[in-house]
Amino acid sequence: MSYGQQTFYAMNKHATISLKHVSKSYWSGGTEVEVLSDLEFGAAKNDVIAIKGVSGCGKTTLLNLIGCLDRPDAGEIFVNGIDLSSQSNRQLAEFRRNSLGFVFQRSNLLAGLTALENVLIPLRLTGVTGADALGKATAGLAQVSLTEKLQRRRPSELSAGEMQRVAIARAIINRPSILLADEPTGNLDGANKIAIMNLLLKLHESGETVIVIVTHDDAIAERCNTVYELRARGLEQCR
Amino acid sequence: MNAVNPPRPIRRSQTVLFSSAPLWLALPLSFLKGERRSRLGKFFTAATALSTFVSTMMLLLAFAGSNGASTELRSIIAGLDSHILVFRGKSELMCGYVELISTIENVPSVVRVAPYLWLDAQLQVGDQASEPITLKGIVAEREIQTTSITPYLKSGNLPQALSSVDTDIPLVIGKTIADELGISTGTSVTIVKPGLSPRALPGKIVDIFETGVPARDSALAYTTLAAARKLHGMEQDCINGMAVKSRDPLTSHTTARAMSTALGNSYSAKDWSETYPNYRAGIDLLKRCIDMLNVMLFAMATAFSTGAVLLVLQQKRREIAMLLTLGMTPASLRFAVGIVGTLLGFVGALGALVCGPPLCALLTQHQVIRLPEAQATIAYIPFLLTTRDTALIIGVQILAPAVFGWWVVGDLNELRPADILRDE
Repeated sequence: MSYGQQTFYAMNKHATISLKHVSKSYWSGGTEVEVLSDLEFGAAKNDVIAIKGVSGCGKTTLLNLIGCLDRPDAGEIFVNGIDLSSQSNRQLAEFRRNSLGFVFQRSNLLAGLTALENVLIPLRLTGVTGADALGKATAGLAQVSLTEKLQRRRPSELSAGEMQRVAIARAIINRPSILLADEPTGNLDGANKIAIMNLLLKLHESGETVIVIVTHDDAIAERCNTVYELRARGLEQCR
Repeated sequence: MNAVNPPRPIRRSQTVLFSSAPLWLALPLSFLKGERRSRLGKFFTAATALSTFVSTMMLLLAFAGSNGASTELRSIIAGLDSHILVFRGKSELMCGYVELISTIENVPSVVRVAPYLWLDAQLQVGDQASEPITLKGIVAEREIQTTSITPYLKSGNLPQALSSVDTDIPLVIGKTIADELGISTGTSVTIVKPGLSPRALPGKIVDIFETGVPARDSALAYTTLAAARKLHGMEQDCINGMAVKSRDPLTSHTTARAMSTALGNSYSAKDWSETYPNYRAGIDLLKRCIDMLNVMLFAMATAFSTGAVLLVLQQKRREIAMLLTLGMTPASLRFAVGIVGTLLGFVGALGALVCGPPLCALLTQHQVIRLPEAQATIAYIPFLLTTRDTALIIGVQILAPAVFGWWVVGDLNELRPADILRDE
C-alpha cells in the first residue's frame, strides 16, 4: 500500500467522498484501455483538492466517477455516505441535482438562454420558481460579479471569463456539498485564470463545500489545500 | 478570449416566463430559440420545419388526388349502366312494381331505384329507316339519379326534354342514329315496334346524347315509361327491370346480394362487376396500387420530417448531456425532447394546413391532371381533401417527429454525459 493510499484510508473515516478499489476502462479503436486501476481516494468536508497528471492519465474519468456521470467497472464509490453503485439513474440525477456542482473547461452553457436563465435551470430543477427563482439567480450571478446588464446576455455575447463565471454561478446556486471542476481555467488568460480561482476559493471560505479541481496548472494546484498526482500506479499525494 | 457577439436586447418578460413556465415547455422553446443564434442551427431548424411542411403538403396533395380519382371513378363507374339491375326470371314483366321499389329502397346502401321497360324498335323518317334499336322507357326523374346520362345530353336535362313536347312518343336518341337518319332535335319521326303484332306511333326527337360508346350511340333511345307502354300495347302498368344506384359502386355486389335476399327467389339482382369482371378487377388493382403508393409516401414523408428533427437533436447532444449533468432526469429530458419534435412538426404541419386546401382548390380549378381531348366525363382528376385524411396527415406529421425523437433519446439511460462532454 502506497503512502497516498494509507492517507486516504485515514481520511475516509469522516470522508465526504470515498473511492475503494475503483477501476475503469474504455474501448478505443477495438482495444480496451484501462484508465483507472484499483484506485483509492477520499475527501473530507471543507477540502480543496487539486488533482494533477499528464494528459490521458484519467483525471477527468476520476472526476466523472465522483460526479456519477459515469459508472466504474469495479470498486465502490461513496459520496456523502451514499453508495453510488446501488443508485438508479433517476436517483443519481436527483443526487447530482441536490448535492453536486460541475464546472467544466468549456462553460457548457445552453446557447439559447441568457446567463440568468442558465442559472435558473438548476433552481427550476429543484422546484424553485417565479420571483423566488429570479431573485436567487440574480443574487448568484452578482456573487460572481456579473452585472445585471451581462446577466441578460446570451453566452455568445459574453467573454470566456464571463461565461465561466456564469458556469460557476450555475454550479453553486443550489449550494452543493461537492463542487467538481474540470480544468476550470483551461480556456482562460492569466487575469481571468486568477479571478476564477479567487472566486472558487472565496466560495469555499463561506461554506463546507468540498472542491475537487482537475488541473494541469501548477499555479492553480498551489492554491489548494491538498494536491494529488494521478499516475499509472494510482493517486499520490504531493502536498 | 472568445469572439464576443454584439449583444441583442433580451426582454425581461422572456426571463420571467422562463422562470415561471413549466420546464418541459421552457426548455424546448429555448432549444429552438438557441438555434436561431448560429447559422448552422438556424439552417437545421428552418430545414426541419420546411421538410415537415413539404412532406405534409406532399401527403395532402397525394391523398387529395387519390380521393378525387376515387370519387370520380365511383360517380361514373357504370356510365349509362346502373350499379345493380333487378329483373324477374329472364326479363319477365313485373307488374305492381311500386311495392318492389319500396322493398329495394329499404335495402341498406341503396340510393335510388329507377324502373324501366325495354323494347325493340325502329325509327322511320320519310322512306328512311334506322337499324333496330332498343327503346328504354324510363321515369326521367329517377333515371338521372340512377345512371350518368345527364352529362352526355345536348340539353343536359332529361326530365325537361322528355316532357317538353306534346306528342305520343318523345325520343332521346344516340348521336349515331341521328347522323345516320340525318335528323336532329325537333324532327318528327315514326317509331315502329316490330314483331308478330307490329305497331307504329308518331314520335319526336327531343334530345340527342353522345357517350362515345358506339354500341350505345347507334342503338339506344329513351322515352317515357308511359310512351313505351303505349308502343308495347300494354294495358297494365308493368316494367321488365329496375336500375339501382348503390352508395358505393365498389361494394355494390354486397348490396346486390342483400337485395336478392330481400326480394326472394323470383327476382335476381346483378351488380355491374358481374357484368364487367375485368373492369372491376382493373379498378381493384389500381386502387390497391394507389393505396400502396400512399402508404409508401406516408412512410417516406414521416421519415423525412422525423430525420430532420433528429438532426436538430443531434446538434443538441452537448446541451442534453449538460442538462443530465445538472440533474434533469432522463424521463423529463425525453419528454422535453419530444416537445421539441412536436413544436417543429407543428410549425411545418400548420403551414401545410394553411397552404394545402387552397392549393388543392387551385389544382382542381385549373384541372392540372387532365387527359388531352378526352370524350369521357372522367377527363380530369379533382383534388378533394377530406377532413379525416387531413386530420390523419397533420396528426402523424406532428406526432411522428415527437415520438421518434422521444424514442431515439430513449437510451438516455445508457447515455453517459461524460462521454459527450469529453468527446465533443
